[in-house]
Amino acid sequence: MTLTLQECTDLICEIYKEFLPPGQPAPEVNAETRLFGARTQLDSSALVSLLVEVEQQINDAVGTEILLADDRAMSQKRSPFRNIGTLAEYVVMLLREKSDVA
Amino acid sequence: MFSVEYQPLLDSHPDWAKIACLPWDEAIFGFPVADLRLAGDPPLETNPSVALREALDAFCAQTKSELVSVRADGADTAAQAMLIAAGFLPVDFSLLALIQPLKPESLPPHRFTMRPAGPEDHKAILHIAESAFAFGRYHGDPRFPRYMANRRYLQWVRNALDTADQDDHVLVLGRPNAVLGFMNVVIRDGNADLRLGAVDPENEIGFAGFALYAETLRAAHSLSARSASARIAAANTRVMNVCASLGYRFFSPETTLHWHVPNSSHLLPAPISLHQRTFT
Repeated sequence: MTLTLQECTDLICEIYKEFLPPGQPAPEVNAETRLFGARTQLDSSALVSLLVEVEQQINDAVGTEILLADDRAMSQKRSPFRNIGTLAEYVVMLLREKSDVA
Repeated sequence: MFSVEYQPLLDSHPDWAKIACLPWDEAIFGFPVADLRLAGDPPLETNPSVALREALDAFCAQTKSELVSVRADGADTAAQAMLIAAGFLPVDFSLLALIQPLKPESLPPHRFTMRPAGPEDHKAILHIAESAFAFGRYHGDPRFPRYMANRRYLQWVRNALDTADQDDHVLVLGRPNAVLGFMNVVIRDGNADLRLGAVDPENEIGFAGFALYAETLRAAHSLSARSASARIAAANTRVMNVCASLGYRFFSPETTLHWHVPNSSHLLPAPISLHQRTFT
């Protein structure tokens, strides 16, 4: 089993909403939602927690073992964690690699 | 090797205020700066702020010092008020962050490469050191030129990279040729003192700071540290939040204040709001 880009995006959007600070108006969350930097809702430790949660849910859903927050991600020329859309693309790429190996 | 000897600032109260020029900072900045240490209660028979200001005027005229720093208990508002009345400006407020005991099982899972710095990492480390810092007493002083403050951290890291002290470590985050950050750690008596760390301000990862602190703790434990401490500028809320999420607790609030010589040739002009704070 694998996930489409849209399915990954939807899943990450749902997880992201769980990490928003309570007591604030819920912003619109979509593929363009930035994950870090100025005017974002998450600090660095919350971002790591979000990535770990995404990893967990993707791995549970697909029955695989991908790692999002690791040396490989950190050494990318452009961060895969710029926004929800780029994170979803990174997830799909890792899933494709796993399935190719299998 | 530099050494300093503190001398009484006021002959009438030799134990209350002691002062020394800091040769390591003079070597970096190109002009003398001094450090003041206060102990015990101020003199009662005179206005301590006036006595302090007059004594600093005389000391700086004699030594050509252009800046004097002093630290005060962050909870001692009376001492801070006295220093501000003498013309000192608060430039930094810090907290001591402490984890004790340091247990790897209470840390996030290991995910990122953290390793001792090698010669091939020096260029990247020095690049980060001269551009990443925005906190600390010199960066917090609106009259202190930023390039000089950066130069001080750069020299700090150079010294750490060159030291032969077996307890003094420079660790780097990231693989070779992909250095994302560094941490200078001194491990003594089982405690890891995280002295200076930074991540590349140009990185786009978003959690490099968290990774730096988390992996430093794991590396420190493997180097026999059983506790870890760091003095952190309270204004650096990003690092404060990272430390809080890793389980640090906070102690020993401390305010650092600077006193500037009037008409200094090396410091920046005082903003209008600072002139308004001058007591006559």
